Amino acid sequence: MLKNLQVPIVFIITHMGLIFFLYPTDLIASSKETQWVPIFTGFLFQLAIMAVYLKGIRLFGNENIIHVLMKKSRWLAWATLLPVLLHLGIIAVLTVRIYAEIISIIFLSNTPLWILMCLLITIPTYIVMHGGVRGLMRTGLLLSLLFLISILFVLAYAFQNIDPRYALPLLPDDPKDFSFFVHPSYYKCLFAFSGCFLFLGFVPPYVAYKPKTVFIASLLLLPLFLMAVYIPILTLGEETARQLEFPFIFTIDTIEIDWLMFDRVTMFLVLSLLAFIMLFISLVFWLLTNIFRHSIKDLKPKILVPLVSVLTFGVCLFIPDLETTEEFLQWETILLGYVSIVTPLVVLFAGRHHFKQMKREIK
Amino acid sequence: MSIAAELQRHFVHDNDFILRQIHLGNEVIAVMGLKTLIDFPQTISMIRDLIQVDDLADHDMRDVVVGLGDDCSSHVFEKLVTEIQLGMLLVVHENSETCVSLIPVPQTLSRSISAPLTENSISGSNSAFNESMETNVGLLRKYTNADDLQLKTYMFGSTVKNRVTVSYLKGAIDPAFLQTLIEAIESRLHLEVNNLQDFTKVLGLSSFNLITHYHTTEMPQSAMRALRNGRAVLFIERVPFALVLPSLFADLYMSEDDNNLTPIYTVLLRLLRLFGILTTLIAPGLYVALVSVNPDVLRFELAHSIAKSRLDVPYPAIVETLLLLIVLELLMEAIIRLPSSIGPTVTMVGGIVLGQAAVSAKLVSNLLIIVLAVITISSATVVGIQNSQSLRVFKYLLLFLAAAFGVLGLMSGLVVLCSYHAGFKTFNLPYLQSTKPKGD
Repeated sequence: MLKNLQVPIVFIITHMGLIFFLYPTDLIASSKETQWVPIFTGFLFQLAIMAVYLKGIRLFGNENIIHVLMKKSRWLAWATLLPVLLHLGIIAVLTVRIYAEIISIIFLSNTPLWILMCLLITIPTYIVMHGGVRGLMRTGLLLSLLFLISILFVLAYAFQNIDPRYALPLLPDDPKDFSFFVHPSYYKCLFAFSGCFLFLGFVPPYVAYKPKTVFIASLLLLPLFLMAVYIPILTLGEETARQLEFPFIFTIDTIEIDWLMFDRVTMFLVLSLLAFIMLFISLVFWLLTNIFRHSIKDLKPKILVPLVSVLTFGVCLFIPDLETTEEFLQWETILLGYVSIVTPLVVLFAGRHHFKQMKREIK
Repeated sequence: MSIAAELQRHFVHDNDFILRQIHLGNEVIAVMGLKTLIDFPQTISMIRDLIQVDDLADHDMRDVVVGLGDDCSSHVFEKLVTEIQLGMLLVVHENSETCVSLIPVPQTLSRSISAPLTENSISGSNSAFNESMETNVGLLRKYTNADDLQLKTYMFGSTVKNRVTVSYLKGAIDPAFLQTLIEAIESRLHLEVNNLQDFTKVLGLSSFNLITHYHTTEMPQSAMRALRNGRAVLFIERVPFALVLPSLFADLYMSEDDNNLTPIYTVLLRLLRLFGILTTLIAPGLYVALVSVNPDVLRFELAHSIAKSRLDVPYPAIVETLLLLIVLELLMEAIIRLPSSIGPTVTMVGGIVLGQAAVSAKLVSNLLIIVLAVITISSATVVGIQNSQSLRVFKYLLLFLAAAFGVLGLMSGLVVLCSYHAGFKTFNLPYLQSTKPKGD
């Protein structure tokens, strides 16, 4: 069903899961006024690395990164894939830990954290084991059909209490407006931009897609990146928004809808986003197992996937609190930067080389 | 020993075996068969009509007999026995040692074509498949009427035999799927096939599923649509519906009869069915989640009135919901079992129990009765009886998860269900497809 759209849809919804929680907090913390400048910078960064990455992948033909790199040189493959593997492992742990905390804060304050982490790990494990990557993509399609409507509904209502004057000044006139470049929080929020574009290189042979559709999908994300930051700022004002742990969620909590039987529409938004996060975690699990199987040892997914999830769970248990998680996330930005810049470049060069080689072989 | 005598000895314990000698001029032929399957007087007069005594002077008797049906003089004895068991009439001409199997006038052993029992159609044809393979295949041919309709019939079993017919449109079906299907069938012809579970084993599909590999339909028009969309339609003798292989997600909410309406209504009806499916799944879980885990989500007035109506209910919401859901399941099962004359009594009593009585006895809350009514009504909107059974089970998964994690559990349950449906496959054809199945 809608085979060509599966990858762009998964691309959109996994990003949606990442955009609305930590990203507004970090972005607001890193900048003063004219927040659209850092947002656009991040967005252009995403477009740039994706352009390079997709160009490289297209040159591979229908092969996936691991196969091509492994054929080229084992050392290059290891230098590229090991950081990716490490990065994905850390992402899996941090995402599970952070989102368990978010669930606990928003609606299940009495439930022990480890049970929530268990839930956040079991379901993605099931998704990967039951359907593999193809099943995962189809799950993404179904989830988007089920949950996108409620998200769009809430987002449409989110403009209820805004005051456009809070957006002023619109143009940066002070060199300080560019100080976000040196603020560590800014690099943390780049995670929302470059957190999950990597999967695009690993899904071919299994799932086909057109690069153009992914670019359109990332353009569709731009309004969401803007809304996630601007809705809290326009509703509460910048200084108040800066004080909050999850400014976007708090702003949604202020929405009042007379005719609805529910008091907190936040619930719809957060639940839908959590469904997308579960998909994101399962995607990370699949990437981890896939890379492991093709580069280290070809274990059966039936063994490997539970192994990865148990490991993730174990590591999650060792993280004491949200502050430590955020600290980890800060450290992770270095790896994130390396992975998001080096991997696309390696892929592009390997792709060029591969393409030339193929051409020569055909001749 | 002659064939006739040998067969008579074989069927000596079968009271319904009949052997008759018919004299035609100077010649004698023996006819034999099972009188429970064959209308003998009619059949004998049919044979007399077929063989004119005057012709015997011009033709050899052997040629006349062979002209009656399929020559099986060279068949082994067991095959002749099978022919008789299948309800064929054997005609034996002893002098020339000729044996012919012919289609007799059969006893009427199956009901005539009637309206479907498990499906209702208000905007389409109302003839339904029944237990007779010939009727079913005939109906399918009549509805399909295509050049490339192909039928393959297989005989399954060694002691208890049964026929299975596979039909497909050559131009529409995916050749790889067809090959897998035919190979699976042909490799297990020794197995007995009396019901769908047996047949699942024959096809080598996993049987522990919550959704079925085949969509069952009583409607020839649905079977025809399935054929045209490249799916295979199978009939098992004595099973009164067609099996459409593979089953697809669209079977949940699409019915061929929708196409007799204007497109806008078709779309609206299908959306309504999807909404009904979602309501059935979510409603019980949502009740439990909102009442016991996340009451803060509700508007204060509503939360207050719910709490007030549950004030005297002595147990948690999950127990309350389970209690009534089980009574409802019992009611649904009881109505199927009971003869139609007693059925209404149960409905009435059930109505009272599941209605005001339980509320006034302070056993359940008012709201739960409403929720229950909503579930019962909406669960009936799904297309196909097998699909409604899946829904019946799935709602419990969501119910338990909701009791444990509240609205989060409900959402998790939906994610699990989505993933289950997305990962389900029949012969490598994913379940989650619209109308035309394509390989992965």
